[in-house]
Amino acid sequence: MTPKNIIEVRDLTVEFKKPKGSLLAVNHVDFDLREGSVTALVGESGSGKTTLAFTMLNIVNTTGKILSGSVNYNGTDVLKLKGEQLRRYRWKEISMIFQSAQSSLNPLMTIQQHFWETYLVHEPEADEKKVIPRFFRLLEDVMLDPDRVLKLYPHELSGGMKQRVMIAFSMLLSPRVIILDEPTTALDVITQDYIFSILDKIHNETGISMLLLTHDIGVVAKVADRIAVMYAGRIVEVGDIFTVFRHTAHPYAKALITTAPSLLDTDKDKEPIKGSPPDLIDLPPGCAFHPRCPYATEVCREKCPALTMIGEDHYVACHNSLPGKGAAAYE
Amino acid sequence: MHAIIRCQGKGLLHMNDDPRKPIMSLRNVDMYYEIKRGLLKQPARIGAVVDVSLDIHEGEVLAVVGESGCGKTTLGNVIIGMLKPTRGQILYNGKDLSQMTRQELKEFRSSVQLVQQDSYAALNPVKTLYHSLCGPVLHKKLARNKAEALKMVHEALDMVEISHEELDKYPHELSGGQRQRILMARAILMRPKLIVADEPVSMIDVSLRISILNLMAKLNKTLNIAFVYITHDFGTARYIARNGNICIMYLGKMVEYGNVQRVLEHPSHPYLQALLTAVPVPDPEIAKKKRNLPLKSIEMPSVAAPPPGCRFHPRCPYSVDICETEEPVLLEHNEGLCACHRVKELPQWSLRADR
Repeated sequence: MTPKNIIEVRDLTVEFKKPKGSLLAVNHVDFDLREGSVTALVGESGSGKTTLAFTMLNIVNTTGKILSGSVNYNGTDVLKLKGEQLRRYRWKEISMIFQSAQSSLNPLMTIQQHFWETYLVHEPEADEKKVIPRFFRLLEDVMLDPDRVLKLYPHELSGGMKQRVMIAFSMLLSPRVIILDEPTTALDVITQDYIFSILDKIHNETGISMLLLTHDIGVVAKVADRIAVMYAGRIVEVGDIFTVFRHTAHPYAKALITTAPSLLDTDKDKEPIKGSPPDLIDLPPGCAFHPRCPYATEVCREKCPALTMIGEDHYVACHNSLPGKGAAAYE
Repeated sequence: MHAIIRCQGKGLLHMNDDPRKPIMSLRNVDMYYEIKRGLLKQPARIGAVVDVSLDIHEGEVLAVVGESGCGKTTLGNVIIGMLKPTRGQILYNGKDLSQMTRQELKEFRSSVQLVQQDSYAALNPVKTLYHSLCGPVLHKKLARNKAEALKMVHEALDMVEISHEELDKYPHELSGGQRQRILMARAILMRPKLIVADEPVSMIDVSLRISILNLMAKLNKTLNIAFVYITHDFGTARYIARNGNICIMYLGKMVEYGNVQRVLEHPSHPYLQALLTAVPVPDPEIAKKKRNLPLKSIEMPSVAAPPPGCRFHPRCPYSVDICETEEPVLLEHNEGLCACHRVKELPQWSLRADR
C-alpha cells in the first residue's frame, strides 16, 4: 500500500533578488508530506526551510519570486489560487504557527476576539454564542482555563501560554495540515516538552498531518516520524525517522545528527563539520556541500546530485552514498 | 570528600578538598534588583540571585544551568564584577572585591573576562577587528608598542583559528561562528585566569557549535583558563564540563551542585529530575519512549513573588508541609550539594533507568 501524500511539492524554485545577485532560497525541490504523518524539516538558518513552508500557504514575501514548480494540495495547485479561493484555503485547510508565536497575536485584541474574528471570516453566517463552546473545547485541549484565557490580552499570558493559545487557534477551523515553524525555540525545556505532548495528543486524536520546521535534532527524534534535511535550498536526505537516524546516508545529515551534543553522551570528543554554511548568492558549483565534505570527489565539484531512492522510504542526494559507489557515509 | 561548615548561621559554606586553590569564591551572595512601580508604591525587589556560595578553582570548567529567569546571567555578571551584589562577599585569590585597591581591581578586571551570547552586539560595528583587538592590549599596556601588540593579536588569532587577514574586516563581514572566535581571542589577550561564557553557542548555527565548544576546551587545557559556562542546554553543558562541576539554579537559588557526570546520571533534586526528563535526546529510539513529567504544574512562579518555603514546592510532586514553610539549605548529599528537605527519602532516579 502506498501512503497518500497530502501535499506534493514538485520542482519548486523560489528566488530572492538581492543587490549582490539572485538568491535561490528553494532550489528545485521535490517534497512530499504524507497524510497523517509528523514530518520534520531540518536545516540551519538560511537553508530555506521557512521559505519552502511559506510556499505551501502561498505567502512568500513580495521580494521573493516563484520561478518554477507547483504545490499540490489534494489535487489543487496552491500557487495558482487567487483572491477569495486562496483566503478560504489558508487556515481552513492548512494553518501555520509562526516562529515568533509570541508576536503573532494582536496586542489590542482579547483571545476571544482573535478566535471570533477568524471564525467569522470563514463562516460569515456564524452566531458567536453558538461557537463559544467550540473555543472552550479548543482551549481545554491545550490545558488552558478558557473562562479566564478568552478574556485576556496577549500581554497577560506567559510565553508558553501564548504558544498554547496559538496551537488552539491553529486548530480553530479543523485544518488537515499544521505547519509549525520552530514552535518551541524561545521556550524552556519543560514548557517545550509539555507543548509537544499536547501536539502529540492532538495528532493521535485527529490524525492531522504536521510539518515541523526546526534545527534541534533532539526535538526531531522525539516528535517526528519522517525527517527531511535541507542544505542550501535543497533537500539532501528524506526518509523514515528510524531509517535516517540508523543509516544516515548524506555526510551533512550524518554530521548534523552525530555532532548534536546529547545529554546521554559521557566522554566522547566530537569532530565538528569543517567550514561554514555557504553564501547562498554565490553557491559552490556542483554539490553545495562539497567544500565542507570529507568524502568529496571530482564529480561532487562538477555535478549537483539528484535525490535518489536508496532504500525503502529513504532518499538521498549524494554522489558517494549511492549503492555500488563506495557508500562513503555508510562507514 | 566534602567538609561543610556553618558560616555565621547563614547558609552553608562549602569547602572542597580540591588540591587546586579556588581562584574565585562567592560567599552568600545576594543580588536584588529594585523595580519601581510608581511614585507612592514601594519598589518591588526581585531576587535574581539569592544566597549563592560557590568556589571556582584554577583551570576548572563549571557549568551553570537553569531555565530563563533563574538568575544564571546575573550570577555571571556578579562573578566578573560588573554587578555589585546587594549582600555577600566575592573573593578573588582570597581577596574581597569590595576591599581592593584601584590597582588590584584593575588586575582583577583583566584576569576575569566575559564572552557574551550576542557576538554582534559585543563588537563595535564601526571599528575593524584590528581596533577591537589591539585597542585593549595597548590600553592595558600589555604591549610596549603597536608592533608588539599586533604580534600578540596574531598569536591569539592563531589560537582561535582565525586567519590574520580577517583583521581588516568589520564585525558584520564575519559569520556568527567567526565573531564568537574573535570574542574568545579578545578575552584571552588579557591573559585571564577565568572566562565567564554566557550562552556562547546559542546563537550560532548548529553545525558550528561543536567547533566553538572544542575551542573552549582547547583554551581550558592549553592556557589553563577556568571557564564558567552559563547555559540552558544540558547537552552542551555535559560536553564542555565533562570533568568539571555543574550548578543548577532555580528562581535565583542554587538547588544542586556537584560533579557533572554524577549529578546528571543521578540527580537528587526533584526539579533537576523533572528538567532532565524534559530534555530531548537526539536518538529516536530513546526519545520516543513515553515518560511523564514528574511535576504538579508546568507554570514557573514569578521571580518577583517566589513561593514561601522551598521555591519549588508548588510544582514538586514530593512536597510535604515543611516544604511550604521552611526554606531548605544546601546540604551535602551523594558527594555533592542539594537543597531539598526530603532528598534522603526520595526514590532513586537515574537518567537512563526509564529511557
